[in-house]
Amino acid sequence: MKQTITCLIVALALLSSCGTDDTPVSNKEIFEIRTIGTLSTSEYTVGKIIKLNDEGEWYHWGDRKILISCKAKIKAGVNLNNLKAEDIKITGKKIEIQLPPAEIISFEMNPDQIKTEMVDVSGFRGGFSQQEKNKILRLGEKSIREDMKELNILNDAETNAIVFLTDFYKNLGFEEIIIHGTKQDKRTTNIDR
Amino acid sequence: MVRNKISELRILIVRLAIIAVIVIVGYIIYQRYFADHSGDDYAIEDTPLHVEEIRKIVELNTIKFRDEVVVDSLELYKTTAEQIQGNLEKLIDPDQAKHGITSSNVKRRLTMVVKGELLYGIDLKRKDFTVIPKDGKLVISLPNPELLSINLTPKNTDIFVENGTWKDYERQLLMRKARTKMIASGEKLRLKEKAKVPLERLLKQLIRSTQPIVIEYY
Repeated sequence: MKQTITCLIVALALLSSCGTDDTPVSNKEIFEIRTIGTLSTSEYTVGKIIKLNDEGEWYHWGDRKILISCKAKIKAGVNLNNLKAEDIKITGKKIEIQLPPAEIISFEMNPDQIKTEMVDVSGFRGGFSQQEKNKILRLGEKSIREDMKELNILNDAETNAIVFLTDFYKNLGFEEIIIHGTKQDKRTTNIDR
Repeated sequence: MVRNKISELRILIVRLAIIAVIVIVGYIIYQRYFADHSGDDYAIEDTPLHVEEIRKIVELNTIKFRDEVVVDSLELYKTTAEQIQGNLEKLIDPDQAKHGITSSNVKRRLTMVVKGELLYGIDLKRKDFTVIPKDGKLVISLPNPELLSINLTPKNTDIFVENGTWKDYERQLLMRKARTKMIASGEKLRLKEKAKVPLERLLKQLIRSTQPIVIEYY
């Protein structure tokens, strides 16, 4: 019996000393640079509590609950590159502009503003790994993006863009400035920015 | 004869019961140690979105830089004895068993692949800009381009390797490292300087003056 245990320990020690998996990660970086022309005019900071109740299966006795609070900063505005030549009409000191539709310009979830508020694990369940937490956060992000449709951010962005451009053209010496917005149904419904 | 048949039937029932127990135990072990519990079937509860701040901004973005970086944190066992003990402990834990079985010298490792988007341009809310007609020219004075937004989200973050137990602050440290790496790449590519050309083009398109336009940065 003792010999068997000794053999097992030696085999395990040999196996352990052989295993190496410390290859450094590659420093190769992939990037893309694009020229854009967006005017961000409205910024919303929103907060959400992500609530998950992971009920156990018959083979996984116990529950796991987690509450994560997070914040997202969303910027909206207009893409001035979409302004076509026919969208700007100048007659003497009068200028008339058809503004491109307002859209979401950027969406940021600062990792420093993501906080696990509560974790409750019962039965034979293990805690939440970072991989699982990231998956829960992805669901939270998706939910924020969906809820964003209910916010007034695009209307605000359009109004602010009109105010800015009116001042801008006044500075250039125009006396009559008419800026048309875009109807809500013609705006992009893409929230995946 | 009848007694023999009853005895055979009893043996058959016992054997079937043993097979059933083996199958159930096997299934439990499979679910506990080998099945994929990656959380793909999670469903979060519907909670309200709180608007915490609304700000009026004026930012003209002219360069969008998409970057992807790999960040890694690695801890190795210092001695063989520590390696044996550590791997045995991992084998006991169902979540870590797959890492313990290889008996590697890695105590903990967290590798993340982070994609991000950096926006460069000028902030006209914080800094003023002026348009002055001078000597038959239109002189526009603008602030120097800067980094305006860094967009990192969980959707664009992948936890590639998670060996061992990691705390939230350790993951946040890696995210900060990814952010710093992206900013450094942007600096290396001189994106603040590169943001000037599309900015000038955009302003000329907006202004449409017959006078020559001169753009100065302060």
